[in-house]
Amino acid sequence: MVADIQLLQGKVIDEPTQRNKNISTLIQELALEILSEEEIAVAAASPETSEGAK
Amino acid sequence: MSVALEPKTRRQWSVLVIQLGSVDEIFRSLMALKAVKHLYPEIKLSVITRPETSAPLKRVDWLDSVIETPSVRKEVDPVPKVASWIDQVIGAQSYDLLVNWTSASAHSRMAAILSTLIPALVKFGVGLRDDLTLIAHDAWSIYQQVWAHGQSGVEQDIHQTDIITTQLLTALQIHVGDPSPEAGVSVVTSKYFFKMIQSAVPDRWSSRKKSLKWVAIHCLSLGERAEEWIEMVLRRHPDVGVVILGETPSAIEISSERVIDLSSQTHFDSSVQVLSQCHWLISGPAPVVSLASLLNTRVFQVVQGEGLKWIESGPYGNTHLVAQFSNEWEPETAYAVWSHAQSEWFHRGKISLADHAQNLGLYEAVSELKIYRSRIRPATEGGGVSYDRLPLNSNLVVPTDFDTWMYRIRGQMARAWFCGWAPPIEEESKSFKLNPELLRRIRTLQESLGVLRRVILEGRETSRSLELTSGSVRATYLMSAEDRLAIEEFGKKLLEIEGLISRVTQVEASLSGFLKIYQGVIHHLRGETIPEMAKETTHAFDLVLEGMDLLESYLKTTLELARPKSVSPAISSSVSLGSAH
Repeated sequence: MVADIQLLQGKVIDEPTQRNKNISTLIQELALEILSEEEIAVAAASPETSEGAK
Repeated sequence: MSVALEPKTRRQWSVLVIQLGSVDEIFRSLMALKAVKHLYPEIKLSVITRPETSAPLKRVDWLDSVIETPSVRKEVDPVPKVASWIDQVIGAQSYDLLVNWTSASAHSRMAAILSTLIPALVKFGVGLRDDLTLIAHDAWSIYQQVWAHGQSGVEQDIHQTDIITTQLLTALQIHVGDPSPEAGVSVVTSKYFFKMIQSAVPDRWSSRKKSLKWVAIHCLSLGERAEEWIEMVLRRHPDVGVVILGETPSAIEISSERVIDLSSQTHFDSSVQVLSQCHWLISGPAPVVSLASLLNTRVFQVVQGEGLKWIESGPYGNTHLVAQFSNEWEPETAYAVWSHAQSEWFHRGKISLADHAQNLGLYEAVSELKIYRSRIRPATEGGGVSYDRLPLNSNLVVPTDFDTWMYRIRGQMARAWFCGWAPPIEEESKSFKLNPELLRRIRTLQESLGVLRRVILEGRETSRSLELTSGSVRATYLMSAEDRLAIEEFGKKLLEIEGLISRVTQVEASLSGFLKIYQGVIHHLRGETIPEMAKETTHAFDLVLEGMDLLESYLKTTLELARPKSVSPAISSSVSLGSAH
């Protein structure tokens, strides 16, 4: 097996309890992502844009 | 990277799965998690999912928690709500192992953010780097992204369910230890996979004729011609009833007490109830195929169009059937195959599919179909689900075509790469049905493989030189002009080599998987310094070389099997004497 053990063992975090340094950016990103997914879902369900209306 | 995991007792391990994908992905994840839970009964399993797809997860009692992502409103600042939700998720429990199984592109970014935000000792699947770009943390995730992806263009024979099961089992084996010694072989799928809710059943279904054998049909995935199939069944099988599930492309206009139309009227609980009481599901590719697989309901799946990518998400388990049409499906032809399988118990294999099709006057049409039967392979053959091409008649042999030969070897490559084991080449090769066209194609491949090997070896040598040169300088900001020039040259040469690999794979497209796996590993480099990245690049070349070695072994073994065998002189003379008489 050539795949080195690092590639199989995943990402091992040395200090797992320490929160990510980018935490506020990540939370903002997550909020935006949830918001945009919801908007896409609403747009897909609306009569103007849904497949059924075409 | 140092591996400094503190020894923990097995009971303390908790696993968090992030699955924000479609309901189809939820079903596959459930199947994988049930198998893992059987082998590691002491682990605690939690799943994060979207509210729209959480119902199946809430209907099993062996998950410790099911966490739904929050809903936010556009008018209000969503950040405080999301921050408080994340705090709750993190505060409720600490996780040892986190795995992101979301592959649906619509939700993959959100899943990667979550995977990065939630602390855990070990992470698998896709997350984010510090610069917020995506990175796959492990080999199976890279494999899934570059080969086992709907749009990858690479055909390989490992089912998505088997990929994620193996990924998590490998993770647990490395970090927790071997599976529970008490855990034997267990069948994961069952009619009782989900907790049943009796009140969920529609009245028309509970008052159905119980003397009939019921067949569920998913019309949306089959298109408008599904109605023709229903009519044929009603005409020829008085003991069979048909229940229509899911949406329908147009209103079904069949009026019969043997047809129950539940289209657009079922939710998850009622679908489970109905499907678990059916003998068959007839469907095109749709999530209901995975649901039927979980419930052990036999599936007859119709595939329209060429190619073998359907295998990655085909029906899982034993004795499911797949009928593949090169273009649009023909209900009459599909019916011929299904009706033969559905009366197997009656004719006990005495009537071949060829005879059956002949009786229906459909021999020509059926002989143009590709028909597959699923089976769970024993571990000695590689394990997981596989699909065997069925001949029309047990006396006939379906010749192995080149694409089938290649896709099976690609699956074995992945096993060799990431499981450290692949079944014996001789045994596997004997299962191929050799024919002149296959042998001609394999010989052509042999030439291109030789060219590719030379390029890859040169690439490996270059990355190794880069590793040594860059490793010898004290710091990237403090090096001689000579070293800088050498490092730049090695970098340029690596790019040229990637271009050369690309050119070889343009000529021999069946080798493009090697380019993709190389690019996949390079795309997900984890090193932060030039020597670290050069070392990983060398590993990428090693990975490709090992795959090529395996392919070459298969190639030689197959050609060897086709070579005429010399007959020993003693036998030869007795044969000639015999023929003289």
